[in-house]
Amino acid sequence: MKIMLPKEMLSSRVAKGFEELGYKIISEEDGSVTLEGVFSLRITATLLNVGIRKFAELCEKVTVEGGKKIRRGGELSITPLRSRKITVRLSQDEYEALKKAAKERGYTGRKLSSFFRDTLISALIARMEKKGEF
Amino acid sequence: MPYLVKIPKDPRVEKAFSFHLKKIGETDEFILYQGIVEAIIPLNVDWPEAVDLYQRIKVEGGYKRLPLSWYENGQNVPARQPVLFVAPKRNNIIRIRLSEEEYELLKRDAREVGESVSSWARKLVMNIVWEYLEREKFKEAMRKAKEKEGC
Repeated sequence: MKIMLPKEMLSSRVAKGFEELGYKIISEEDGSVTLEGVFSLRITATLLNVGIRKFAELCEKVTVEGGKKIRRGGELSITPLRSRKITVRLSQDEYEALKKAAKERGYTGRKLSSFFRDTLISALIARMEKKGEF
Repeated sequence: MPYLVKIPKDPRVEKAFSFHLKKIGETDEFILYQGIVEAIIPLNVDWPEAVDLYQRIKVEGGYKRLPLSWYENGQNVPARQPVLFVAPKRNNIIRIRLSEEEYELLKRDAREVGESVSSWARKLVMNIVWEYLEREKFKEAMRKAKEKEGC
């Protein structure tokens, strides 16, 4: 996924977040930066220390290749296009444990698969960091 | 839900089964064991006998497998010693969507450890979930102990 965003959006905190997720800067042009990476991410107005109106203006300038951006108030979510489906079978005990952990982490009802995916991605990132791939 | 494993009485295999599963009953011909999570049990017999033994082992509420090969040093090699793989039935299905790149990373990681993509995804997530629940249980116990001390 390629993300092109205005340079003023790449504050040190945002840059650190990109780096932690394994994103790399592939080009820098006048006023804009293009980064390439794999995982979804969120940028907030608080993180950039700007008001909602300014944040909305900045978000308009963001372009995403191989993914999509959604802004809700002061939060911009960038997610890659999810075209692959995987099916995981769980025993009753595993399913109950997953449901309990998801509920305690604030994922309820139909969000069980979201919890599963988020946990899986975190585990993958941790493994890649351990292997020194980031 | 626990699963039941019924094995014919044979002192060569009983020790390995008792080590991995809980013994819950016995007759003149069979021993009944109970398992909760998947287990890999060495059969301690030769191949032709292992195949015969495998056919006489019955599993209720779960499934059994006798792998003829396993993953070693990055490739599939014929299994030198017969091992029995038993696991509970997995009736609950979770479907998730991943991006092409996420899927490729998961696939590469799964290959490195000799697992299928879905099996590796399940193991990665369930390890975190069990750890989290254990930690929460521990925190709760500590909180209760502190409350008691306070009283």
